[in-house]
Amino acid sequence: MPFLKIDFLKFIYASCLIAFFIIIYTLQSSQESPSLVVAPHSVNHFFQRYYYMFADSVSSTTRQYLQLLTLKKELREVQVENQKLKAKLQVLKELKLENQRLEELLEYKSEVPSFHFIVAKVTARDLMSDHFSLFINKGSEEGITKLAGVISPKGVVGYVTDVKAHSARILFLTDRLSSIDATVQRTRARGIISGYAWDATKLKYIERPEDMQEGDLVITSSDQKTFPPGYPIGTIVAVNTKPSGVGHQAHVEPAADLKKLEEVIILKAKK
Amino acid sequence: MINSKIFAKNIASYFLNVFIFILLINLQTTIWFHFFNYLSPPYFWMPFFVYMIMYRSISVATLWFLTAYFILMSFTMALPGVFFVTLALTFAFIIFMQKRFSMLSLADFVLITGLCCLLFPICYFVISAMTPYFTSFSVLDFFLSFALTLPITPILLVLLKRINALINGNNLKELQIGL
Repeated sequence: MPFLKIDFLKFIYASCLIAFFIIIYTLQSSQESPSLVVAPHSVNHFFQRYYYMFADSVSSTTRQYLQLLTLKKELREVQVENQKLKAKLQVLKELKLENQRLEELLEYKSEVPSFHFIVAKVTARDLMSDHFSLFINKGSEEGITKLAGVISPKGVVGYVTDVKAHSARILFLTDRLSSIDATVQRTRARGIISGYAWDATKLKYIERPEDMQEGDLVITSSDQKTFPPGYPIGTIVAVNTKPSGVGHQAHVEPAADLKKLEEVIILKAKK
Repeated sequence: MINSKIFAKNIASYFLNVFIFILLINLQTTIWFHFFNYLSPPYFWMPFFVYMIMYRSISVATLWFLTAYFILMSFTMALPGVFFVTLALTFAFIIFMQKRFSMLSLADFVLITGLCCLLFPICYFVISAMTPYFTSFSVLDFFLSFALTLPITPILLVLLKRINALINGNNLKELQIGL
């Protein structure tokens, strides 16, 4: 019968295949992982794990990169803001210092009523480094006259030697061509202050050596019109008791810090 | 007509150079002072002075020496006599070198400017010692100014040559400068 004419071998193969699938299906639905499915699962897990790691690392790297980009942008903004704030702070510092200086000037101005005060900014220095003179940004148009006294809040600076319309030249008391009438505050001994180095002057023509000693304050003399009387010039740091020419000498350190001058006060006597 | 054109060009060249000279002195007394305070500045004016004497005829060089003296004196409290003699000695030294050597290359120019930077303060010190107001001599300032002047000298030479070429055309001596 053709109906019963079955290829027996094919039938066995088909049966085995169906049985295999039934077994697999049955085993997969159970809780336990039999040894038969452990091997492919392990391989799968291996790949999954590393794929996951790879994908995760890629995505996290991408995320981090994007975050970095955002951070970089934010950082740049913060840096710009920081720079602006620093600049503002610097301006405020300068304003604070200027305010302090002007306050000092005003305090002094109220103490010395016989002079007009002209505040000028230092613009340039002398061409030759051995001469201590400066140029300022105010001149005859602003009321500055030749031989007008120049001071700072700490002490005498020098005097005006040359005046143009909008500029003038100041000769420091430390210049070797400068001469200023001075008095030792303690003993009232009088002499002449003349310069010889950046931070040193000499008090000359003092008659008696006992009239001066280290630490004595040297001030401007009372009978002159260039400076207010009693304004500090400097402090005696060494006394030379050997007479040189006429009288004795002392080394005087100027009260004003001449190397850090930004503004000076020019005195103009009130009429 | 041609002569008047040349004359006008010479006058324009003179005033332009005076302007440059004043700018260079201001660079030393104002700009340098504001940036570096009392640190010894280079002699910005010295390469200009050397240039105007080395590459000009003796009569024009003498005119430049006098011009330089009057301009420089307005920037310093130095005693006029001391400064004049010092500058005159520097001038004579440049003329002496110019007559004996063919100072036409950049290296020669730097050399003679450097020598002038050494000679000028020494002469100034020696001459001021003959007056009651003699100056002190600072070795640090002396070497610092000299060392700072050398690197700016080639730059100034190139600039001066180009600027002078623009307004009046370089003379024969200037054309022979090997840069």
